[in-house]
Amino acid sequence: MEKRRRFDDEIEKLFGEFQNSFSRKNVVLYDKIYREVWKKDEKALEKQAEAFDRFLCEKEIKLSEHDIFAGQLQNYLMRFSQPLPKDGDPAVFDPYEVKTGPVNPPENARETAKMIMEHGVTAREARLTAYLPDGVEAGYFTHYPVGHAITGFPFVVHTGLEGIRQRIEQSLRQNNLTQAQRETGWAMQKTIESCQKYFARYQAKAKELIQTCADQRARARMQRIADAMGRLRTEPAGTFYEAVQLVILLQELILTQTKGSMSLGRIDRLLYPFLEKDRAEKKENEESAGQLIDAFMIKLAGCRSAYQNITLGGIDENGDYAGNEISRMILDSAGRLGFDQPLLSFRLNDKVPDGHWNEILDLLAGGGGFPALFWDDTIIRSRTDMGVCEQDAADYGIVGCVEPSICGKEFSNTEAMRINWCKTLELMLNGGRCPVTGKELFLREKRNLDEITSFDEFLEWYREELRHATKVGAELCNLMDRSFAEEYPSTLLSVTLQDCIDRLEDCGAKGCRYCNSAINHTGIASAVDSLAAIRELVYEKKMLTLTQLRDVLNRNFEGDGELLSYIKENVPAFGNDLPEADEPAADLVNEMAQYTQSMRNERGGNFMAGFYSVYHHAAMGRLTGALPSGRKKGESLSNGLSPVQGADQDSPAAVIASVQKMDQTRFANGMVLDIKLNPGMLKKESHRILLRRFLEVYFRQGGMEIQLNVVDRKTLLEAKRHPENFQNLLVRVSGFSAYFVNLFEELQDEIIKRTEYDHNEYTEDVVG
Amino acid sequence: MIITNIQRMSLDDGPGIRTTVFVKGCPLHCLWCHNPECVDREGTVQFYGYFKKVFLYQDEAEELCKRLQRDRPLYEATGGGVTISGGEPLLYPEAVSRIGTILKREGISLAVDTCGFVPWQNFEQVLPVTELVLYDLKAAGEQRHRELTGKSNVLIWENFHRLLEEGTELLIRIPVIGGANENELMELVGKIPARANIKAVEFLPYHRYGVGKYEKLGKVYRGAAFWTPTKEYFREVVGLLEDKGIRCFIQGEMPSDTGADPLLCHGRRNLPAEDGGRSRIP
Repeated sequence: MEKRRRFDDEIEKLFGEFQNSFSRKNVVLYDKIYREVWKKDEKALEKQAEAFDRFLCEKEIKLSEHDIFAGQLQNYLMRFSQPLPKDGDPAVFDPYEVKTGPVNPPENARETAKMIMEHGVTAREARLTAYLPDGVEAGYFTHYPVGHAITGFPFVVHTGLEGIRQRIEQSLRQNNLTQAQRETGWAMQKTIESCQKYFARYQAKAKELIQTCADQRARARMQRIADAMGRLRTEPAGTFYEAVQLVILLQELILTQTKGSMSLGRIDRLLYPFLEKDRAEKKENEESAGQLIDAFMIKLAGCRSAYQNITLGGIDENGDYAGNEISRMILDSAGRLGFDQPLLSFRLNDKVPDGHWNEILDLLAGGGGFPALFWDDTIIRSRTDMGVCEQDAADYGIVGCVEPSICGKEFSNTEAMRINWCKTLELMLNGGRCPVTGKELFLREKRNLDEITSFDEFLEWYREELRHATKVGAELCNLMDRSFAEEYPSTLLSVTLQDCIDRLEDCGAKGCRYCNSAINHTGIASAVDSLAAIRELVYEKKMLTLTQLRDVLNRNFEGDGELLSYIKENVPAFGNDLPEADEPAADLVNEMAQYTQSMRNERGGNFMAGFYSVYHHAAMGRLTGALPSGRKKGESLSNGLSPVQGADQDSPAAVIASVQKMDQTRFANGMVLDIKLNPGMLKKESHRILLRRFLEVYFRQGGMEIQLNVVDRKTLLEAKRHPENFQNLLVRVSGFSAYFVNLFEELQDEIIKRTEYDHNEYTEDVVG
Repeated sequence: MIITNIQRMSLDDGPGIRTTVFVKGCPLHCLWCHNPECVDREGTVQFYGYFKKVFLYQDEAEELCKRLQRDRPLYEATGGGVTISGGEPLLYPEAVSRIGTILKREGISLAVDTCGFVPWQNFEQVLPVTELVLYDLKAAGEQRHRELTGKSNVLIWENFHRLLEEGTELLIRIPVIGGANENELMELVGKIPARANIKAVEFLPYHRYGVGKYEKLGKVYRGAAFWTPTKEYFREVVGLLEDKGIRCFIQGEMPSDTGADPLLCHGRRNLPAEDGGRSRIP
């Protein structure tokens, strides 16, 4: 087999110079403009449009003669669509030191609470609103209220900026517009005009660079950029190169305005027709297109930890396979580049050809967790069951981590609310008070622990409390929605989404066709294993009372070594295909999913249930005390729907059998099942084929998502000890991939602790 | 018959994804054995943790088979099934036969992993319900075989030839133990005739994953001086088998002097360069 050269020399150069693409000047400028503009006594729409315009006009244009495309994606300290952060010094902000977690800043929650209160609430609502920051501070909730959508790339690429500007103009000519609509329309227009001016700046810069270029090839590159930016300032994309260029610039602009998992959707579907046409006209070939894809991926990687998700594969409107040459190229590029961005998701179905499967397995085998795998049938069903038409449901992409979203038509604020199932348990045992932070939180009903005479009674209470927390979460989302779009619009994003221009409404309001909300549930296996322990210890074996158990937990099992051993040996854990552990888990999950999705929000949409945890299983775990499952205080909770780390000791077959007892078509906001494999397991072609069959069985039996972490414990431990030697080690967390050395310690530890499956099980724990 | 483990998702105990059932009791005492808990017939075996319980198999073939059927979708998708191993399953021909009968009725394939040191009648009892026999060959010469396994290999070769004659589907497994049998391999492989019912020859490189168990069992590991021969070593051996038209492959990991690999199938991509932290890619 011919050995493929890793990169061509132009890409090699860009790869090597990657760090130069960051501009500290721009970080400082952004911060300055934001603070100045926000002081003004104007509406948020105006301020955002003004700040955006100023920044694009004043920022440093980063373009080098080595560049193949224009575009400069990077992190800033904040965005114009978010509350102003209290700390962080732009002068020393280092994007390469951006750690993943652990903070889900209570600031977000406090700001949202403040916003809700300022817009006027009843007394009851005021009490409810206080739960938000309190809940976040105690590790009961997480709240990230912005972004998390798929920008309407096809709309922009096919319409062009001028076409869009005219659409907005046209919409503004409608009769009977309200003041708010006019203001939104004005902001939309101004925003597009700012974008157009920015394109002109790139064009000018490129032309400037032509004069100083070292060689002919560089001049040609700059000319190509100048031409493209010139055209794209008004026209839709006409060639493959222009399409990729426009995607890059749009993503840069979106990220300049809106933070939070801004995702790209089905890029392979978007780009392929352009490539086909160019190939027919001999303007591109496989090699040149491959290089452009590499350059594209390098540009996206400039914005670290940004959860920029690209969705590959899937089906088209006729039900035929939608993956293509670009899908393969992107997978291949990711394998060679090894960055943490973009996140890659692959929509699987029965029509995926062997070639693409092989490409997927190759990329997984190298470690890093790309691509995450999704099953079309289950996800499409999860949406059609909610009333979405078949055609729209089939056009889903993945947002951020694992949240399905209807491309170009949906804004559902998928991270606005997450609930910690273990904290519910903790509150029940401690009279509504969080034992870790001392905060009084909100139980539906405080009870005398020793008056609960049966496990069924306890479980019933738990279910009521979970429902209560879910309801509170939903009400908070609704309260937030009332004023959110007004205070924190995302104008550029709205411009790209249907039907915001027609309705002249922000996507955070009711601009989109699909305006859903989401509640994510976390700590499932830890909670479920804890319930099993309570059942065994308190109600079946009567080894101690509930009060005594609470005391054991509050002293973090100090002096209770025997009890811990007893739990490990006698309480069934979720994830081993044991009905006694799995069935209660499935009942609870199915019930909470159904309950979540039975609620409507105030934007004309539905609440959707999610079962993935990003890194919050470890962040919330820090704030959660010891649990009856045997988990010690501060340790990570279980991630996604995966078994408690290390508690699954049977096989991957058992893990999927456990998860399959749940009805995954009710997880409209997505889920994560993580399986960790020793790299040795995937070295052989024969093993990879078996792994594929295994995955197909999982999906066909109702699976929605699965992500594979191919890495061994030795490497992870070594990377912890000597991070300087493992700067590029990419691992799968829970719905995204990240550089291992940038993860906080509890998160690193939980990944290390996850059961690692090898093809040879050599049971070490034998006594006989 | 005591079952020590029911291992799902076995990828190397026969074709496809299989569930492997390990039984206690073995007539041989190979110096490199990595399942020492399966050598004695008697003695209880306890595992830590809730989920591994020991099965004292009485007349529970139906119950056992119910468990084994849980992965039917995986068997069907991959041409897999159940493998009985251990230990030596053919010490219990009735039990294996009963299990095999039920599995056959349910349309699930049964493979038996055997060292061959049992009376031929035991084979006769199980062959009607066995789709594949994994047959282990450990040394060519009689004396060496006694040194390494404690028993003669006469019966083993006799049974082997009878199986060849019966036309039974065979997967031959040869452990490759440096310092024990690595200089016998050519001779050993030379004794394998070209037959249609030999599906493949599988080499099992020496490893030490089971060593930790010995201490816990109060036994002495006698393979400390062994090592794993490199892949290059196999060229000749593989060549000989290929000349006979017999497929062969290596299970698991083997060290290599040159990086060249006559047998393993790598994925088609070159994995990203391991440059550690030298180039700091943000």
